[in-house]
Amino acid sequence: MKQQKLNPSFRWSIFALALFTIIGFSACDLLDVDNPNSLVEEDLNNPAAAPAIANGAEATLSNALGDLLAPYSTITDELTWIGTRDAWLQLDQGETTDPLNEFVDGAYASVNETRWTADNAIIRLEAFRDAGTLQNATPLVRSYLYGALIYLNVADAFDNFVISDRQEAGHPVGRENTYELIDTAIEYANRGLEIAESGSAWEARLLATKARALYSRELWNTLKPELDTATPLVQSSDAATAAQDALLAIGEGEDWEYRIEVNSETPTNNLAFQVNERLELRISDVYGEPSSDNSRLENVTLQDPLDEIPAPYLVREVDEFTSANQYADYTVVSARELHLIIAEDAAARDDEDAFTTAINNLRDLDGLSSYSGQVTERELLEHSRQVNLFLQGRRLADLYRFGGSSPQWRSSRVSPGAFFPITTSEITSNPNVDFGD
Amino acid sequence: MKPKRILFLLPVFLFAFAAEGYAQGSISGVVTSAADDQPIPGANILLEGTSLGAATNSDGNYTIDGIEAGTYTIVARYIGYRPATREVSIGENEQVTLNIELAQGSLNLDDVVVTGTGGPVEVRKLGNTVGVIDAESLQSSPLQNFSEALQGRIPGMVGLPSSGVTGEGSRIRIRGSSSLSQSNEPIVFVDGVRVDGGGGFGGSVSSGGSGSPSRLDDINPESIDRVEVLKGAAAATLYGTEASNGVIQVFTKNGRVNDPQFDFRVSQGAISYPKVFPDNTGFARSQAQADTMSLYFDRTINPFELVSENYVHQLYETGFNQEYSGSVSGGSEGVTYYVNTRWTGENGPHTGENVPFPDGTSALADDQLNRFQTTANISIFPADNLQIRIGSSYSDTRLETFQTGNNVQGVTSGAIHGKPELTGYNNRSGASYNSTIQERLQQTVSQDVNAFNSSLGVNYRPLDYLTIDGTFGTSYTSQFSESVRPFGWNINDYASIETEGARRTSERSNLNLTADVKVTAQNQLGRRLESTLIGGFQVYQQQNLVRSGTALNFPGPGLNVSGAAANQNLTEQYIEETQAGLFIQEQLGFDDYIFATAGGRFDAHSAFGSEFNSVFYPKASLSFVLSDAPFWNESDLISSLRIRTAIGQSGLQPGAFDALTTYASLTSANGAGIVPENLGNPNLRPEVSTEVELGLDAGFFNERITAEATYWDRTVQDALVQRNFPTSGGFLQSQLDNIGELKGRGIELGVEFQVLNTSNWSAELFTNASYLWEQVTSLGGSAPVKVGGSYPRYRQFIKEGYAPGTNFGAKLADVSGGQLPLDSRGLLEALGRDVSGVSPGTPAGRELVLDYLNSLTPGTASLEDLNNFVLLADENGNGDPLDHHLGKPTPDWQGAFGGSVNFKNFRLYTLFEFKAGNYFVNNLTDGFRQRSAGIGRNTPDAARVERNYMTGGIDADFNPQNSGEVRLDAAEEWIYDLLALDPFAGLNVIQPADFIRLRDISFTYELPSDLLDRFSLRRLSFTVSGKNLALWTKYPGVDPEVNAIGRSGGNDLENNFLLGTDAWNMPLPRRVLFTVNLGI
Repeated sequence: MKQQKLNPSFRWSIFALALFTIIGFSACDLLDVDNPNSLVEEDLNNPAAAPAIANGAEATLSNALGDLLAPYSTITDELTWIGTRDAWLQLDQGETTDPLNEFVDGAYASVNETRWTADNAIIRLEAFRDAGTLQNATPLVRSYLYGALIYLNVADAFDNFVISDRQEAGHPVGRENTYELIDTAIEYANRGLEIAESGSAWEARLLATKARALYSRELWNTLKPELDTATPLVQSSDAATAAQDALLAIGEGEDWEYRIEVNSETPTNNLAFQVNERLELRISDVYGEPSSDNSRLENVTLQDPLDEIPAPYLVREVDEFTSANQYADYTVVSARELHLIIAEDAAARDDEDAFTTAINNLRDLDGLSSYSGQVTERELLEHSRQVNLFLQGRRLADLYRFGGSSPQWRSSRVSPGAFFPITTSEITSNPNVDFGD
Repeated sequence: MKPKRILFLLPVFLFAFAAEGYAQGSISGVVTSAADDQPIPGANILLEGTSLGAATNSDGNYTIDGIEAGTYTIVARYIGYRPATREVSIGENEQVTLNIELAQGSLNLDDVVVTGTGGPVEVRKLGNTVGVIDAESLQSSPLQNFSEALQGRIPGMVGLPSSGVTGEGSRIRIRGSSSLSQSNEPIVFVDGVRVDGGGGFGGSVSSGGSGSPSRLDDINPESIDRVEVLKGAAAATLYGTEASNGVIQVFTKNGRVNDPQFDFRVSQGAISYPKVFPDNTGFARSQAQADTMSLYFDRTINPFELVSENYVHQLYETGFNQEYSGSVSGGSEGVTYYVNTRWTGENGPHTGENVPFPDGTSALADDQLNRFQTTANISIFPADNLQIRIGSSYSDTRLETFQTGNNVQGVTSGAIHGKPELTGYNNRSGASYNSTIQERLQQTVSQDVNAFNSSLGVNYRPLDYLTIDGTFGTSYTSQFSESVRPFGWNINDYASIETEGARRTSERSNLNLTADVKVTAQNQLGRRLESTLIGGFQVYQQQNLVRSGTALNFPGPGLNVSGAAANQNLTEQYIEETQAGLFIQEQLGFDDYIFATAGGRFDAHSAFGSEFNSVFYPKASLSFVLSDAPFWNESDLISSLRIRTAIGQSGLQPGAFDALTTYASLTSANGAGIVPENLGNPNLRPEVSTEVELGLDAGFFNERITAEATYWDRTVQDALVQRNFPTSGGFLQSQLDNIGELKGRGIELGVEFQVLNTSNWSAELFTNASYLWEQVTSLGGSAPVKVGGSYPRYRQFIKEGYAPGTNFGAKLADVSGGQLPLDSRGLLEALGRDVSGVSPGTPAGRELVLDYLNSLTPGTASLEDLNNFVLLADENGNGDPLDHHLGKPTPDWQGAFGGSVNFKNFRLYTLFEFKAGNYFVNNLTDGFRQRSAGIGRNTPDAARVERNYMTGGIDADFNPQNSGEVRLDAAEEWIYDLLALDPFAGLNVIQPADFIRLRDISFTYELPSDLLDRFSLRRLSFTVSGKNLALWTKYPGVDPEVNAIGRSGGNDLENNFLLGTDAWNMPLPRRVLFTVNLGI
């Protein structure tokens, strides 16, 4: 065969190949693609991101509260299961210890996301403050508040917990050590108060949260490591003093509440969604009459023990909660709770006058008649806590320590004094945790 | 930039070949089809022993110039035809005319394929298998869409429907799963251009996961000329990253040089669902409830009397569909064309006409599909050595469907869970949760899609031995989806969610850009050795933008614009991915019976981590056509025989942004917030799939029986695993990590048997089957990955030592004879007896159980209480009762068989499909119907068992008898057959699901040629066909083929492994079609 000469066709082919090669090279730039959907690590090092970092902690807290309060309240007599997903039934019957329960597992995930996000927010914003680039202290104050609240909620609802950082797996703190979580909450509240603007709303919120945390720290001794039903009342002068401080900051006679607001832009309230929209859960018969199709509460019937009328605050709360659909706000701490803390401390100290004063301050908020010994202090205290802390995640501890129960509880399911465990998502992903921890 | 290095190599191999010399004579002629004497454009003509050759032009003509005087063997080849060989002598300056007629082939060794080969190449030269579906094989099937065209025709390839809802598409799997985390869908090309392989509704719009449409169904089935399927890495190396799940390439029809030919197709059909749902059964617990039931059932009903209705069957009647298609094809010197327009409309069986509605209301939900498709292809031959192909297609689809699947507001699920005892004035269908059926039928889901594909192909042969082929194209999809709950949709005042209206919308636009350039140099290295060198590059880019909105709470009825709502929420996501690859391949042929191929591809991808640059995928194959070897002795028994082997690699890249640590936006009441999203892993690299194939193709008795057998073995190394890090670490999303290994192997068999072939009769049988074994051999020490997130009823896991997606769940504790798996201690406590010395978890003897049951009354007997005593096994003692192996959702064997019988002008065709061997389906639907007290206990068995447990038996007048023995029987049936769901997830519901289904059957009459001539027609046929007309299975659910989700109906993990889960789906519908095909 002869060697072929370059002909016009071949020259064209060279041109075409060169063209194709250029196209090939131009493809290289195409490999550099943008990601407009998310932020990367460096973006969070910008001090201008401080408010958004704090907002993130608040948003995750809002999400976690709904995820946590739904299973928590189902275990108590506050809610009962009417829907389709049978893991609610376990909870309704009083089962707290199953690490495989999907709703408890979901709550565990959400509170962990919040715990990490709040801690991370505090670290980042403290770094800005140290560097002198934090333009406004409020985001840091808020981060301390959200951090305190999530630690407090975890300690109130879980028997064990793990603190890890990203891929670094931590160890369980142990049921006997969960008070340390409350100590962290108290510490965060104190650190927030150190930098909070005096007289600000954030200061009042931190003061009230601190009182709640101090109360929980003492309550812990009643519940853990062993349940003590013999002396169930919480006596805590620290908590009572903090509650008084908070009430002073709030203003006397104010029906003050710190609420985390839920709207269509924020994470929805899963507790409210399950009750009001998905109809998995209903406010139980303990509190009122169900509708004929059993899908919702028709009327509140739980009566004030003195005035024998449906508890006014409960009527308002139920109405507000059910009409908000999935956008019900969370009441995190309130003047009512502060009065209750003071009253319980007084009752525990057998200080009848102080109890009467505190409980009547509470009853005045609803225009109820004053207490003057018509029922026992403990009976009124239990009722007042049941009504004024409705769906706020306090009820199970009260049922346990006061020897109460839910009509749905089955003895084979209930473990008195037991709260939620470390759940399956942690157990299967953390080499330091086993079933049973 | 890293890819520059590899692209620099491109010109090197493009010019690596020396040129050949000239000669003087010429040979020319026309190549025609023996079947119809029509010219064949694009056929390859080669002068053996030289590098000379030509391709026929649009009218089938070819010319080979510059031939030295001598005697030559000339070979003509074209796809689907046997090669024709002619001896020809040519003198100095002589011009020889040689016309060649090609006959259609049987064993496909001489078929020409192009996918994954770099250029057109005969099957005989490939060491790997390439599945081919041609238009003719689709003619006999009642096809509605592209998904159905793929079903049952290629061993190892399977379509996975979700349910039988109008407009839904299938997931596709080839050789099982080649990734543990990334999409296991093959990539799809149409005429060389990558097309949108998405599905579903996008954004916040959903119909419940199942019933998802497939964008692949935008491909016009009428325009398909053939489909080529690469099954894995050994074949798909040249497609590089993203190709390890296989490649499907669709070639659309083109015209030939002749007068315009018109083809019309009209089809009319009926659709119905088989009536396979067990009746909704229940009973009144009180006289008041019985009285209410008596009122609405219009007969006297007693307490504890079982009452049955079927609310699901009331939902549907017979639907119908229609199709009109017309095409014209033809061409003249230098130009050929093909144009098709098709419209198909389907009004599915779903209707609310039999459901009693409150006055002034009716069902708003519907199931309708209207699809307009058009395809226009043109080929231009401006010179003998230049072909330009321009292709375009457009599809306009309107789909209306209803809420179904695993969906608390689903119409199907609502009807399935209807309980007769709950019937009331505002609840005529016994709704048991969330909303009534009538309310559910107020919800609408719709989708409008415009899809446009275009391609430009250039084939240029500047030299006799050198071909440059380029394909450039775009595929663009614009999709708008909407789901609506209108204001006041709670027409029975039952529904609570979004009663002031909700409108969810999503706009999705998807753009795929493809540039594929390859250069082929053919060279004769001496008289016995032939060389084909192919090199080129591909650039592929996808841009996907989804904007989604949720609008809640409208001020009144009639408003259906999102801006009118009180609460509005917007989300937006944009993903851009680019892949660039450079490939080269050398193929050597020895005496046209031994062929060896070696090649590889360099790839770079925008999704690779910052610590990873590019990847190289090698390939090699060998094909040995024994029956063409000189030493082969002609045999009547074995008429042809080939052995082949291939090894190759391809990969799958991680997700677009998996390498990055990212934070997402989540808004609080104080403003936009930042929350953790993705942990990130800068070391991410593609997972690499290495596949070995070993195969044999044989023809027996002069090709009367042809058989193909392939063994394949695949190892996926560096497999990307969705690794779960501790939840307590704050990042809830799993993180991809290259820590896994996945192995798979299988056998694929295909046999065709020409049973009979006489002047009046002919009959053919065929079967294909594939065996699949898969195992996750390593997860790199990470924990098993659960499919379906925290939803405990989905039981599929990725777990070392098992096939991906294997089910794990609860088992009852083993007990000895005379015992039941019930807790002695619990029963003793319930009876108020001494429990000292009895440890928890001790199985109870029947006497103790009977004592307990005798202690109950109709007022106290409750299956829920009994459940609290049930003992579960914990065989490995790790404290997790839900980790027992319960079978896999992928069968060992699956395939198809069938045949055709022709008598004169009549043709009967059948296609059966089967799945068998270790095939289990999670029957979640019946699990809920059996177990759930609130919404279930409404199958005939579950209602009877609950009634008997509660009453202890009834007499003839339905009076409770309070018998412990009756309760014991009921308790045993409950525990061993019916108990399911939390905390017994997996128990009693993961069931064997082997089946054989009559997928297609058709009967066709073709008008004989004398009649056609009389009416000046080219073709006229009448076909009656059926789809899914019969099913043989032991599976007790409604259909062993349904799945909880359809195409893109879930997240990546669910789309891959949420298989074999029957979750409130409609069964696959039966279709009967009457079709007329007319050719002029």
